[in-house]
Amino acid sequence: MKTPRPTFVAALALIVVGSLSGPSSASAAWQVRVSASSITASIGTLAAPSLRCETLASNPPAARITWDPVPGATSYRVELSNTVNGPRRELATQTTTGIDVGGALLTTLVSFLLNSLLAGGTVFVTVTATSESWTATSTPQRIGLAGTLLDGLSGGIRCR
Amino acid sequence: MSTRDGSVGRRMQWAAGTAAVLALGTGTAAAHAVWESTAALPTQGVSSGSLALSTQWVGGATALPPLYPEQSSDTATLRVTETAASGTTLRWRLRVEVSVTGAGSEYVRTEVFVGACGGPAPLAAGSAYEPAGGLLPGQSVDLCVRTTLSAEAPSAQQGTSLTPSVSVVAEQVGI
Repeated sequence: MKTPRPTFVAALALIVVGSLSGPSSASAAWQVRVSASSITASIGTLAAPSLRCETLASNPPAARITWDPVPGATSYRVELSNTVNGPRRELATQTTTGIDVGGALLTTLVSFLLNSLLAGGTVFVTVTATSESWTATSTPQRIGLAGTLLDGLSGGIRCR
Repeated sequence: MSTRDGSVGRRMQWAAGTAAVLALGTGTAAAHAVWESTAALPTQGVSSGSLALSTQWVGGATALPPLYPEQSSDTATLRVTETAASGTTLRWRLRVEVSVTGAGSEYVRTEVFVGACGGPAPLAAGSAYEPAGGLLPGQSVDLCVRTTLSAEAPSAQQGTSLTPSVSVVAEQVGI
């Protein structure tokens, strides 16, 4: 049986390689790259809500706590405490930027707040802006009983 | 009744016919080979085409609103226009490359939309925008880049600056 001559094999290989590489080199398409003018971005800072308090002339009165929307915040957690830096109890978690704190609303936390209320003292409201794991807490806003100690919560709540 | 002479005659006729056909065929082929006509065409310049892009932020707003966890900020419209292939048959496709550098950039993901952000599905990473038949010379494409901060971004990353970069690549198609 005849074996192919080396020169023939080499020529055949050149043809095959040429036919394979030809299209790829022919398809070296033009391209051009341009960078857009620069833009700036940043990771935001979650600000603490700045609280305002207004005593509503309702019967009984209530303390209306409001704050401006905090950029980036997805919810606000409203909490009460007996002292400025004391342990806090959650009153509500909401997306709106205000809450009316009346006597009826505090009844659920009366045992927690009892000492402060019986002392005729102040209860502190804080609002924490939340965005996923990020939080920013306001400075406490003082509120207290609007009526006498005997009136208790039924006498309403006012800003202090 | 058939005779030997008659048979010979028919063979001669066949041979003559075949020869005539061959002669005609050869003659025609020869005529094809011989006829020739040359005409000078009017001189006309021929030049290779070109491919170039320009980009423009429509509205000029180039500062993204700050990013917060699991929230997005969209760029203004980036208008990309092919500027050099007018009058040619060139067709092209558009590839967009976006990168973000800076502390916390590992928590930022980007998406590129053709048209307005939030429209049809964003361009898949590494893919190109190529409508059927390719983009035409001089054609513009509006893009929007959406950046989103991961929900896992730690609080410590607050307030850091980022530098997004957008590059557009026009690639010739149809060759």
